[in-house]
Amino acid sequence: MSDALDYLGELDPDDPKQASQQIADRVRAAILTGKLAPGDKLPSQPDLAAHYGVARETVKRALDPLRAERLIVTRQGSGAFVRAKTQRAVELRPHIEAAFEKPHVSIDFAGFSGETLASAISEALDKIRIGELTPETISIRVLISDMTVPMALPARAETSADDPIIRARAERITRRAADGILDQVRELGELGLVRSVSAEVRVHSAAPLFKLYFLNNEEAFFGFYPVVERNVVIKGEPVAIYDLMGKDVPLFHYSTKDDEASTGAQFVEAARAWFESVWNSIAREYAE
Amino acid sequence: MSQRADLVELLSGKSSILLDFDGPVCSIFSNHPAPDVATSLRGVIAATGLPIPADIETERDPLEVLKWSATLDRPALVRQVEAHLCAEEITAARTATPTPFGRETIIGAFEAGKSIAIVSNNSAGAIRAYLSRQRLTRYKLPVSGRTYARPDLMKPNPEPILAAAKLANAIPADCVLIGDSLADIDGAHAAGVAVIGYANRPEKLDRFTDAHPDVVITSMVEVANALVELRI
Repeated sequence: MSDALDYLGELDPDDPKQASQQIADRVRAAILTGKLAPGDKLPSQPDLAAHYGVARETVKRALDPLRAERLIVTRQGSGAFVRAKTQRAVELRPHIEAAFEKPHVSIDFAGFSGETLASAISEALDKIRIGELTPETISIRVLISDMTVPMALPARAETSADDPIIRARAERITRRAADGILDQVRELGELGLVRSVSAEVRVHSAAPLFKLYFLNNEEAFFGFYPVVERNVVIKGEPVAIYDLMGKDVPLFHYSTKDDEASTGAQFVEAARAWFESVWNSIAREYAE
Repeated sequence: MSQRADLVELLSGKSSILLDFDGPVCSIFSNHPAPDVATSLRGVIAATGLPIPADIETERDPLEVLKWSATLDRPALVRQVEAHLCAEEITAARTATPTPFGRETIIGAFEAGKSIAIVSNNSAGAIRAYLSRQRLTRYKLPVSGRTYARPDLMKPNPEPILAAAKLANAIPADCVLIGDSLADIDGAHAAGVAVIGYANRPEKLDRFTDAHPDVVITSMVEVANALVELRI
């Protein structure tokens, strides 16, 4: 089949992923590689459905995660567009995938929810399931804010204070990500695909202000969460909240292998010490 | 068409929202009662020895007292009353109660890509004091407030509304005003600006009907919800 949408690829019938997920991957790739530029209008849902030979509902489902990743925006009545700001200073996914190429995989995360991590590792785990990647051991630790206790952030903007209904919403997000990571990693162990797996989540009472990833104890990625005010809909009503902005923020990359003149190795070491200190002190067990 | 669809359609066709302050954003005199302020303005006038007519003696709205002071052909007195009212309004702004969903309307306007300006018969200083107290300064909302010692230029005079449209970088036809008084509705009509009547008390519903606002709402949540739908 050849048409104007060739650049969006075709579905792979041998790929165990659902059609919607495959479509999301193809469109995401088209955006990240610049085939669809910021501001470009996406092909219409009927066109996409015809191109991939799927139901329109499947296309609709495929676009949902792209909207959540803020790669696209939908304008009422005029369709979906590539967001103006798709810059991601350091793209984490390829680094996570590369980390899984090693026999012993170790990933630590500290931050709000691990949502990005959850989606990034799901791709790597898919490759393990189909035998493309074959690590022997996987160890993942997730250190996140405990949204069941009062927090400085997220907060109700009007009062700049903690609000249980806003935290409950945040807790659903953190829980979904944390549980997703735990389930996926454990499943690999149960299936016997990886000799040894461990995944642990711990929580603490400090508000999330930055995110930090460690890959195989060699690389660290650090990003600030700026505080943004925005409306979220809770129980059918908009609520202005002070929220942390995790997506679209630049991630800074440090490595123990950076040349000696740089501070990369020192950063990784200090960040590592910070992580261990919190993990082994004020962090507590996550109630699954 | 449903009320909500009407609102979405009206708002989607406008680039700018002009927001009245006392009512849609907050209740400025909620903890510093307006009748007390009116009384203190009468004190300023009484100190000059001028007689105060019965209807002004019982007037509960300080803006009406200011207006009356401007009918006496005593410019110095008007400035004195104005200065006093400005000070009282700033005091009131410190304890003003936010209107439910007023903040969400402001944030929602930005999220829907609309410019926004405040247009009020209150003084700009008091409005800025409130915005600062509510940590809304970062949005740099332009304010078209009461012209000093010129109560004749207050809404329903279209001047402050036209000024607000200019501050919002819009022509009147691209603006919609949200206000809770007849002065807002009449002023908007005179300025050629669409208007949403916010009937924050049941008795306003009947009064508004005759003034023909484009849409009538009874809670700011209606506007905030419509703006969520228009989010880009």
